[in-house]
Amino acid sequence: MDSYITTGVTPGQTSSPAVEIFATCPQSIQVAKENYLNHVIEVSRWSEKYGCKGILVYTDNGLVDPWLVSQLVIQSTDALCPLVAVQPVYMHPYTVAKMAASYGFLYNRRIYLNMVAGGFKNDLNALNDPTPHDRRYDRMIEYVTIIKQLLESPGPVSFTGEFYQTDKLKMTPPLPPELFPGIFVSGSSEAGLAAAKAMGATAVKYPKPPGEYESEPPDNSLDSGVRVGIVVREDEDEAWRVAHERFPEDRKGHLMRQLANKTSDSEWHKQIYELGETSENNPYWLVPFQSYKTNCPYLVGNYEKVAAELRRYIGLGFSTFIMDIPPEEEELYHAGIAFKRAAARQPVEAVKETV
Amino acid sequence: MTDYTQLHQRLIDLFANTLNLEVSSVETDLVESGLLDSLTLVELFLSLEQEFGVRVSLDDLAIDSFRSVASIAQFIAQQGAQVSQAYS
Repeated sequence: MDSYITTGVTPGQTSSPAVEIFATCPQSIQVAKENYLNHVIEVSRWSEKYGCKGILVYTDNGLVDPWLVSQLVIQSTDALCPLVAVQPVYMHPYTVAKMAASYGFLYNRRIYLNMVAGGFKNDLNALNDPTPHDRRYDRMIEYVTIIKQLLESPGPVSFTGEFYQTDKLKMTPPLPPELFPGIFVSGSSEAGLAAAKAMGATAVKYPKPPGEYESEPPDNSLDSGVRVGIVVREDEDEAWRVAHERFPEDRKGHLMRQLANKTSDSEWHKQIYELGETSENNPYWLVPFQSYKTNCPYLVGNYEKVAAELRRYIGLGFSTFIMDIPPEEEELYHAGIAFKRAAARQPVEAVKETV
Repeated sequence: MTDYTQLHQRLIDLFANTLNLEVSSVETDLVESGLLDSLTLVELFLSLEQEFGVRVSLDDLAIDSFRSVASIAQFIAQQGAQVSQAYS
């Protein structure tokens, strides 16, 4: 199969930024131990083959270490950039900077950092971190500031913040400027958006349907992205058949989601949860979220419908897409066709009229 | 009228047989004692739905309603007719 996802494409509107697409790495909790390592290699290679810029590697208390997985991603591919989830509670910002610098030194590979402000509440409780939602973003700003300062220049970094202090701290080896990490953060809450601005980060949302943003588009002074799953085929019915097969209705999953909503303090979780039922002639589909199979909304349909929906997000200013974990190589192939069509040079309005 | 003694025993049996958890008293705090984490709580909801024909919606309920066998019994009893049928 050809490589179809074209990163760096310029969508129809000349003011739109280039689109960058990321896949997501399988989680160790969902794959048999004896298969996990090979599956990570496989998914990384598919992602690279179909033109993804990078691949998100999750972190939480129940998963293997994302830095070790990211090293495997790097070793298995030529250019794919790990988008490493970073939970500030797990390590000092110096260690994160050291990882970025070390990957640069060892592999000449750029990484991205997906800054996690929340995560599972039980994880934070177990780590004795009761920091409230907005304060976690304040802490993250300091955290990222230290990482950036350490990687930006060889000079010593002295930093006095509310959460962190450093005294003439230096990073060795130095990181070449072209390998400076891209930084992503959740942009669903006011605190997250403010942090994204302060850190110069890409604000990533679990998005609502694109129509919800048309009266209130994302802040164009920020780079913005969305995290969506995609099930797309040439034939509409086939796409839905695949989607239902992968995400059957599941009462246990629904209860898990209700419980998560009860305990989570995440803005994005409440926003998506409150959207409720979605109809099936609409590409935007929430059953995978509602049945606790994944956290992101899905776009389901034929190439034209999904491409039109992607194009609406692109037209709104969302230029980074993080797809869900691909169960098969085929999914990236089909998603690539949808992205290619979404990025084709035609006005957004013209695309909308075709659906 | 609900026979709470019978209902308590039925719930204790459900914990033992379905969730493999031994509950020493109907007043035992299932969360504080570490018997219920989020996963076993969901398993409990599913078991209650199957056993008593009730429908659990956490959107409308406080999790505290499930902190002890006694409070779970109260929840079940409040569900009304279907519980009576389950007894008959």
